[in-house]
Amino acid sequence: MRKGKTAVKLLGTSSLGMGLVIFLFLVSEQQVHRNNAFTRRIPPHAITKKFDLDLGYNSYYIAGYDNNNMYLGNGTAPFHVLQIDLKSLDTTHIRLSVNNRGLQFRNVQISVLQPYFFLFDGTVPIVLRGHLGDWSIQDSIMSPVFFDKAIPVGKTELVCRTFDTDSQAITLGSFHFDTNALANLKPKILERQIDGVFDVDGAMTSTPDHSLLLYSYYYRNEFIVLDSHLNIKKRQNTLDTVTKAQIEVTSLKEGQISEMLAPPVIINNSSSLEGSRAYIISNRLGKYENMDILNQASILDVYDWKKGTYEFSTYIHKTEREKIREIKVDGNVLYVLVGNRLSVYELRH
Amino acid sequence: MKWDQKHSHRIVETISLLLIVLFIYAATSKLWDFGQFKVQLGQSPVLTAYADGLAWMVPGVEYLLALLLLFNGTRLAAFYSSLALMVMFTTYILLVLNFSDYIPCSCGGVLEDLGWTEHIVFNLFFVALAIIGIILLEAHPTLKTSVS
Repeated sequence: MRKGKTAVKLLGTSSLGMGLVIFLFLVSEQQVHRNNAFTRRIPPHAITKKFDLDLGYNSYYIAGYDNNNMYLGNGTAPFHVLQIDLKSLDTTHIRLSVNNRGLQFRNVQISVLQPYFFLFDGTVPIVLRGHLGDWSIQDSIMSPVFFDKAIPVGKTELVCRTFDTDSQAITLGSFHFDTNALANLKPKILERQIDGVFDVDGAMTSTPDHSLLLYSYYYRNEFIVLDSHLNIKKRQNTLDTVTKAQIEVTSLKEGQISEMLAPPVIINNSSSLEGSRAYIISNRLGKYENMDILNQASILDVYDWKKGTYEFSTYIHKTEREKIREIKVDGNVLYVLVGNRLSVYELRH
Repeated sequence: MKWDQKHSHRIVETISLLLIVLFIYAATSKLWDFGQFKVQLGQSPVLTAYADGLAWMVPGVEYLLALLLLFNGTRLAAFYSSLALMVMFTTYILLVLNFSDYIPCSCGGVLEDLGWTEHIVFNLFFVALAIIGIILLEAHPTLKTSVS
């Protein structure tokens, strides 16, 4: 009698605790992912997978292309480049010979723009340049500004994202490789909503030939298409209805460090630009979309920025644990860096 | 019977003591760096919406339980509450580990060095302690009121 009663009480207490936490979890999941205000168009077979290429590591990023090859840089091995012949799928491992090893490199990025490769680190800040195929550094300059992202847009010019001390905000700008001129900042492009730092954060990418740039905000439903001189070609809204970044920023008393107070609602993840089309990975569910899908796939939304329209969406399948780190569209081929592999798809629309 | 009772009493007191040490340590380490704790709670994928209230409530409840565990009269209720609290915490860890978009960390002091698996084992150990305590107390109702 007594024993039975105790067991029931024990079980009751435990299930109550468990139930409460599970309930809270489900409610918060719902808030993060669901938005019933938009509906996606998902045509069947919009993409077909051609093949997967196992890279062996999950730290690669796409550095760029030349005629036949794709080049991948590696975040943990900063002076290593993987060359992939896109026809034969042969891979070549390249070691860059950099003599400036004495420098305090912390955030090395490599970007390929024919016939050069650029190696830069905006924390130094330095830009190095050499010829594709030769892989040795020929020129180097100290950048006039510190930056965290950059894309070369010509033989001697780079577009970068930097902190503007005048406006106290993150700003896009450009600087030249061959002169000592100051950087040319364009503080009007990124629009401050909260603190001008976290709220304007986003993905910066370009067309394969680096003639047009795309900046897609992480935390609001907007992307910006720019030409290589940072003239705005288009500001366009995505499907989502979150116009104002839903983030909270706090500064800790000790020191001048700002931190996010809550996990942000991420509207746009990585993105890519090709011709008139902008491709954006989103993990936000619209109306009639099944919650389970996010365990098996990420959603790719396709926009036409010349027409200002939403075109269609499609699912990119992956396993639950994997994250899509980067996408790049070249012609009608979609490259996806996910987990340890490079997945290659053909776009049918 | 007497022997059994005596030992039960000792075991119950030891368990209480262990739980008291755990709760006081956990609560104090949270309040020690309260700003950081609040931020970490807010970044948790499950608790964002409730972070402000919880930041005070969690250490508060932990202190209260430590207090209730001290007295014979309230010890049984405190054991049940400790069980519920540890189960909630363990469920939370399991959910975050298996079903969440990302895995945050927000454990204070020495626990910061524990991996998630060790953390679960650690929690389950205290869950087991609370259960043993409850069973002993329920089986020997006299312990509840007896003065040691």
